[in-house]
Amino acid sequence: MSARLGEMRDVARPLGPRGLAWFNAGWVLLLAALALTLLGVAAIDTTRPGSADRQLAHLVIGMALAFAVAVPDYRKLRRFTWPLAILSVLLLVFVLIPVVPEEIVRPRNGARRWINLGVTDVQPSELAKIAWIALMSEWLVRRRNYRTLPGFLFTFIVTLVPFVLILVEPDLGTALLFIPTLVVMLVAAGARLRHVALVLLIGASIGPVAYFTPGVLKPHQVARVDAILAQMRGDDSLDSDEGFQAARARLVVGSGGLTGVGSEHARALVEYNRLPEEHNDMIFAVVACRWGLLGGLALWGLFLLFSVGGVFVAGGSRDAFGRLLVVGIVSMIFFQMLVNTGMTIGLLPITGMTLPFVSYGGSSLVTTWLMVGIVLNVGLRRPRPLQREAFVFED
Amino acid sequence: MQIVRSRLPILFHRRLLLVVAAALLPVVLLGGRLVQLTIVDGAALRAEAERAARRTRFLPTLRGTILDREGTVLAQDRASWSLGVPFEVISGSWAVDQALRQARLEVGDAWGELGPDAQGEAILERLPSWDLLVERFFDEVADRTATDPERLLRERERIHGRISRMSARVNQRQRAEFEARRAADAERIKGVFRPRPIAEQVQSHVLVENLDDDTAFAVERLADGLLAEAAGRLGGRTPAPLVELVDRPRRDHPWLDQPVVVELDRRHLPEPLADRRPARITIEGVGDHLIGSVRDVQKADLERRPFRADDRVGPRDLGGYRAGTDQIGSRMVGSRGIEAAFEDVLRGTLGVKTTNLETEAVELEPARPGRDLDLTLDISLQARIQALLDPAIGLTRVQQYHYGWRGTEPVPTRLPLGTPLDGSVVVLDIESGELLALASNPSFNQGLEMPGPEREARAALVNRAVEAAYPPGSLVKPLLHVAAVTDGVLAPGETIECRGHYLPGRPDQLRCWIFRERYNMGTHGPLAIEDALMRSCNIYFYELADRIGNDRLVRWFRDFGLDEPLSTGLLHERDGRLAGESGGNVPDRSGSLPMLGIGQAELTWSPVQAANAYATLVRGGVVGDARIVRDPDLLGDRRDGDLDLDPDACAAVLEGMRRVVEDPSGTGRWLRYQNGRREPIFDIPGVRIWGKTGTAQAPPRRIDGDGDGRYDGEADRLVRGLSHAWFVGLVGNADEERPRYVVVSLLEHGESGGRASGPIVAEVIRMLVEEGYLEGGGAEDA
Repeated sequence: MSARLGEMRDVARPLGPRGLAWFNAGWVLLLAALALTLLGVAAIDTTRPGSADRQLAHLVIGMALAFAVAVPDYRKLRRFTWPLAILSVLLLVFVLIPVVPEEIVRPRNGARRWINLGVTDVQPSELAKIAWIALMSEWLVRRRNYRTLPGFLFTFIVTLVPFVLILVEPDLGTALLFIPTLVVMLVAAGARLRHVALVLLIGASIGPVAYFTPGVLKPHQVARVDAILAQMRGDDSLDSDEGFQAARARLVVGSGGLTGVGSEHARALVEYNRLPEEHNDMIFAVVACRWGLLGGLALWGLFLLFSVGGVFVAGGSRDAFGRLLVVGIVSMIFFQMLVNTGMTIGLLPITGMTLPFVSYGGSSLVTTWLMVGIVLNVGLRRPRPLQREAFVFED
Repeated sequence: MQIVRSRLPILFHRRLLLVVAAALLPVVLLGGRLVQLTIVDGAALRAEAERAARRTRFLPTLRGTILDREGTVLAQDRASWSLGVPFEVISGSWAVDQALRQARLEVGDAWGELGPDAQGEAILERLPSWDLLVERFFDEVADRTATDPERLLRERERIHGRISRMSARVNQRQRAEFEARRAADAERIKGVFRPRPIAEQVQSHVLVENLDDDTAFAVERLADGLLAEAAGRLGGRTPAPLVELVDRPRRDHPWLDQPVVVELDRRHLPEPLADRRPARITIEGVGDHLIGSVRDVQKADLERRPFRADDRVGPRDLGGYRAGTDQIGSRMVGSRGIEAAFEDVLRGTLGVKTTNLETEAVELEPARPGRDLDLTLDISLQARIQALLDPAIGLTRVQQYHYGWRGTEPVPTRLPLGTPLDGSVVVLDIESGELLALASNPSFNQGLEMPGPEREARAALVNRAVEAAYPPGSLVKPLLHVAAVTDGVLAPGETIECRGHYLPGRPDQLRCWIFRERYNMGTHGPLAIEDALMRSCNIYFYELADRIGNDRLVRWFRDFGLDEPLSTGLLHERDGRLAGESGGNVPDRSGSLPMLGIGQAELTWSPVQAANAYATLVRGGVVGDARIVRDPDLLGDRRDGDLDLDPDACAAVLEGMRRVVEDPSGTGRWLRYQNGRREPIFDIPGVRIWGKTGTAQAPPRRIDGDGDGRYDGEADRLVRGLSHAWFVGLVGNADEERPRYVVVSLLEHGESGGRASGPIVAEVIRMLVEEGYLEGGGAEDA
């Protein structure tokens, strides 16, 4: 008996929790992220060489932080999901308090999104993304009632907390990311597909209702939707004001052609067409201009590689919490990429949102790399021996 | 599904597969859109994007020169520049902008993190050096353009003040309108009012005018030098421009801009007007009706032919019109006359200087000046004819010899003696159809100086040579004869008897002019064409009109150039009036058909059309309509062909016209004075003259009886029963069988074609001799 037990231990030891799974898809994801960041540095360098150097420094900090986060077992995070969520909500509320002096919360373009820490600014909404993904993962692991309609809908009500707080900053774009991410997490967690279909149906009808109901959207948001509708109709009458940014971006993107115009010419085109936020929200336009269609496809390819890496990490893990954490992080980044590139090439209204890894910005890059660290962390953990597969339901 | 289940037994894995599959869809969508932008629309978008990296400047062009047939300049551009300065330089915001650029450059990426106060300070720190540069520039400008610096400063302040006030008013009004619209339609109109700069705030404003090339370019070099110096402060980038040279060429019209003095020989004028001393006539504007002038761009020009620097909205057109009087090429548009008629020929196209801001490469597309225009006009002949028509000479005033005497009794004149008469003279080269002179009296400038009511009553601004139509009267008679013979309704040499009236037993209708009490109810008896013309018998031509018939007659008139404009190249050509074919005119013996035969009824033409019809007749029917420009290709659709007129009939007509001026009974032979004294109208050695008189019923004329320049007083009246006086003279050298030139004179209300217009034609023929168009006798009666 004891001999057999010893035998089993011998067998189990290499599979045990203490050993790290060095060979895992997390590295693929990390390499894709690194390639994207370097692509971003090169794109930023097109118009702002100084910023490109600083972005490299952000990358070093971000990667260091990612490895640091990858070291402690992520499962310990489960205990901190609630405190972390509460902290992030507090910070979100904090930036909204009008009496907070401008030295600490400096509104930019009328939005209160940033907390000034002296060395750098921090966006509480970035932290809120991680905290909320962690909380929802924990939530779905603990409660199985999301396979019922009330339990399913209740997850959306929980999500409304960060959603509304970010919405009033105002930062509609970031707030909107939470909904599809939640849907993907629910799908992965095995929620009933008819419930998902119901939510998608409601979501699809909210857009037009919000657009046509006065007072729901702010005037500038209506104007941006109008601009994109006008542009799709081939009407460029709004290009000089409401659709200015979109029209400029369209010109710069289109200029790239198949293989791009090269660094020097791209710089000139961006400058003389007065493309705003070209190193930041509009970085994809620079990528497409400098490297053309091929550059754009390569960028999307890297994001797909990044996502597939994440999917394999999630699939390889047997831990329910880890799985959802990875799915949430990857889909959040993926949706952000969709919205950003979609608005740059004129498929979506303009909204202030960075392209993950590629756009210039310290706090945004470091947070995204922090997410990479978490995914890597999950990838590195071997399943506990005989751990059951998570989320095994009959469809 | 079953395969998926067996391969992926775990739900989570299947769900991941579902998510990945769903994620591919939007990526494909994005990829498709990117293909559309970069590949499908790529070239167009790139072209547009690259346009933003180019700075385009337009280069001035010149309007074509207008020359007369001898090469004398009638209109010409003279280069001249105005010094325009962008409003931002005048207002001082230029210096602030450059200081801002410099500050942003020097602070670098940290700029965004500076507060508004710190940013303002950084700008203020750098502002004085830019202000200094602007002041230095203006000092140098004052120096080089020899302008008083104080005046320059005042001018800058004046422009700044005026436009700032204007912009404040406009923005206030726009804000009010916006608020009103928003109040009315809060659903659709959202956002807040954003004031925009008014056009004047983004334009250049002229500070100094009338600079020659050297000064203008020196100022431009000076500005370039200052900016190049300052580029160091902006990291090598050139600051926004300080100066814009505005091309303001001036249009010189040497024969219009200054008065021209003509000396006229008066020795051969009709006896009452003759004088051994020549008259000196000052003409304010030779050919003023013809040459026209230039004006600023108007809205209609912008609609007709807008300036397009590229072909985005429509075909590229650098010769189009640009709004705004400060724009290059905006100022000069032909107005009236040749300047307007040949606007698109004379107008040049602007040049384009494109600077690629990225590579600094310069592409130059030179301006193309407008085409020069050679007119058929002889400006010195024109000047002399205009002088001849001046009322000071007397030919264009009511004279007693127009009416004659009965014994010692002067025949009462219908208009007061000395009343100025309006009219027109046309000189046409028969072979080429070239118009040598077209005079209209009063001249355009005389008309402009008249008091309004008089100008209106006399239609003083109308170019009577082409823009007015009159009944031709007896002038149609030669045409009628040629038509009748060519059509075969009249045998060559056939005679028609004049019994004084046309209809048997109706002596009160369709009478000959001689069948009047004044002429003792005379008749002409049987007449062949030569004598019928000489005596201008009406009965003969009533008969011809009747034989030809309404429809064919109307067609003949049309063939002789009536009823539609001739495309001479002059604007507002009158096409005249002509009875319709089988139209309202019943071709009966008592109605209007016979009247057509003597050029009354439904029939009018302009003096140019008259000259043209006679030229066609002399050429035997070869169509070659009158024109004012040498190159016929510049004119629109023109008629051609040959009417194949009967040569014998033409010869007979010419013989008749010779008798008109040579035979003692000719209507164009004598001026008659008291007691039967008379003098020949034409007594010009060395030339052969053919003529035809015409006296056509005229509408009543208003008389300014009290001479107050108005037509509403008690003494002012309407005079009826007047006649226009026509004379067509054909003239050639004495040894030639065929005439070379047609001279047509029309004197409105001149009463008698031979006596009122004849002497004018005689003087014009003398001028043709003096100008060398005809050999002449050499031995002038000294």
